Amino acid sequence: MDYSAYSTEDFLADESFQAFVLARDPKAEQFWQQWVSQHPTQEADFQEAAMIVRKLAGQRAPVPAQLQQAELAKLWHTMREVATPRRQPVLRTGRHLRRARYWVGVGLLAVLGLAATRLNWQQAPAAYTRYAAAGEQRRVVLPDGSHVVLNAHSALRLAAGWQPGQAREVWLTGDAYFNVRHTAPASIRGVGMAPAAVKFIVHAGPLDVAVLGTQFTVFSHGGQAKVVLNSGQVQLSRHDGGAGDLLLKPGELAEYNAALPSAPLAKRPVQAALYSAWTSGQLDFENTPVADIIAVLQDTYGVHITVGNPALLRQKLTGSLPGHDLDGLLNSFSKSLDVNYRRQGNQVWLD
Amino acid sequence: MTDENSARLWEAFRSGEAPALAALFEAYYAALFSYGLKLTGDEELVKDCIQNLFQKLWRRRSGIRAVLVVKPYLFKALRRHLGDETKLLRQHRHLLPAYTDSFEVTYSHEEFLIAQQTDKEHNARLLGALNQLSKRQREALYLKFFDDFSYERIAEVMSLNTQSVRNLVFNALKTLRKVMLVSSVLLCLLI
Repeated sequence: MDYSAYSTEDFLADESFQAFVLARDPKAEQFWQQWVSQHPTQEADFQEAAMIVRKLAGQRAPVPAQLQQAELAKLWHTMREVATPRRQPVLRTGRHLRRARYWVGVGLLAVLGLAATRLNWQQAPAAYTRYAAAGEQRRVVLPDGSHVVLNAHSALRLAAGWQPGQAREVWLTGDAYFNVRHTAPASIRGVGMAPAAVKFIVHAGPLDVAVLGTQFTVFSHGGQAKVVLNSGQVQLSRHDGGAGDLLLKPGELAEYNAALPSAPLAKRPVQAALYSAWTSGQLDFENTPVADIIAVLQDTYGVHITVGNPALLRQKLTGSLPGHDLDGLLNSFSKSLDVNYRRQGNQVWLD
Repeated sequence: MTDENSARLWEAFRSGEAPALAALFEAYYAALFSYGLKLTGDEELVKDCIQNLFQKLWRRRSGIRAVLVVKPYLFKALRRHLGDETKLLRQHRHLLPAYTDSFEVTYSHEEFLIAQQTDKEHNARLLGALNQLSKRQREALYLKFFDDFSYERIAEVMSLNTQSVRNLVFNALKTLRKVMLVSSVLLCLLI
């Protein structure tokens, strides 16, 4: 193309020229820099056009993060109404065939995941999202070597450009188990005192979860978030900057509901291993009080369980619960307790 | 998000994966919101229209076509929703004769001053010049320089043909340049 007859307006309206001025295309940049050095008579027009393009590329006024979060929660709500049970963890049923199929699936996913990660790192250093569909779990290896298991119906988004020496940030919708690699020098003891560069931060709805290197599970649905810590230490803070950071110790669960902003960040002791059990595909119990098991089911499946006979809560269970969906799981659970169960939506009765 | 990634998410969403639609929502919410606000100036209306748009996409997912480039598709859909809504509002209030294509794109100081604090004089002139353009010219320029759409994509969003968009933008830039040139000459004479 002959640009030697170009006027200021022609430059202005040329898409390749625009891409050059706004530094959006390295090839265009190289071309136009060379071109202008060879056409000094047009340099004045060229520079004027460049100045105007730079002026026109304004900046969008930012959209409040809270607004976007609230609207996303609304969308999730409608999408859930139509969908069947919230989550269907892949649990081991004990049948060889099923197990084999499961491991083939996991292997395939891992290979696909690995291939996808490779491609993504080379082609798109920008932000990207990983998600697990209904009835599947997804194992994700992050660029720093940390491992994440995404539960069904969950999405994990990464900030653009994870470089060594920068805070590692992810956004979670749904449930995920994190095993985060420790990158801080040994001299830094607690996450509270650590510089941002060595932190790993999970933005889960209304909560920010900051860690150095630990294992923990996050449940993030709409405006609600729960965090259960398996080992190490995590620091929780509210996304809206509301008062009161909270440090969690292993074996503690913290929860926060953005719909009740005046309620403080609360924590309580739980059996942390039970909350990450879904990642291995089965729930193992050893002399575990039924009350604890019910708490786990309520927290991880988003159901409310009503027990007819309170004496049931004091019973203890040993063994593992099979089942590949909530109903299968409740069925086995009620059978081992020798009671009946009824379920309507997310209301469950055991009596 | 690259076009390729968003097309992949679109396919996943069409096959019934809610997290894929949620990811698209997160990726484009800010851009859609700003564009809608630019068109109507009505925050509540824009919020509702984006929400309705995505809920509708989810409900009708099985009947929705494949899309190679998602962003302009969403922009176009939002534009249509906003048009329908403002038309309805007008009919209800008997304020104005109902016609859709009358979006009032207004540029504000903040957008340009964030990036270029230093050059206030020049910015004020640019802003004045921008707001003298026709509505369509303003919209096309916004899509070009704020959302980085190509002429082809702008044509898709505004339901025009590509050559019309080229002309629209070319004439807009010509006017802008003239206004800015005249005012800088005047300024030189005064000083």
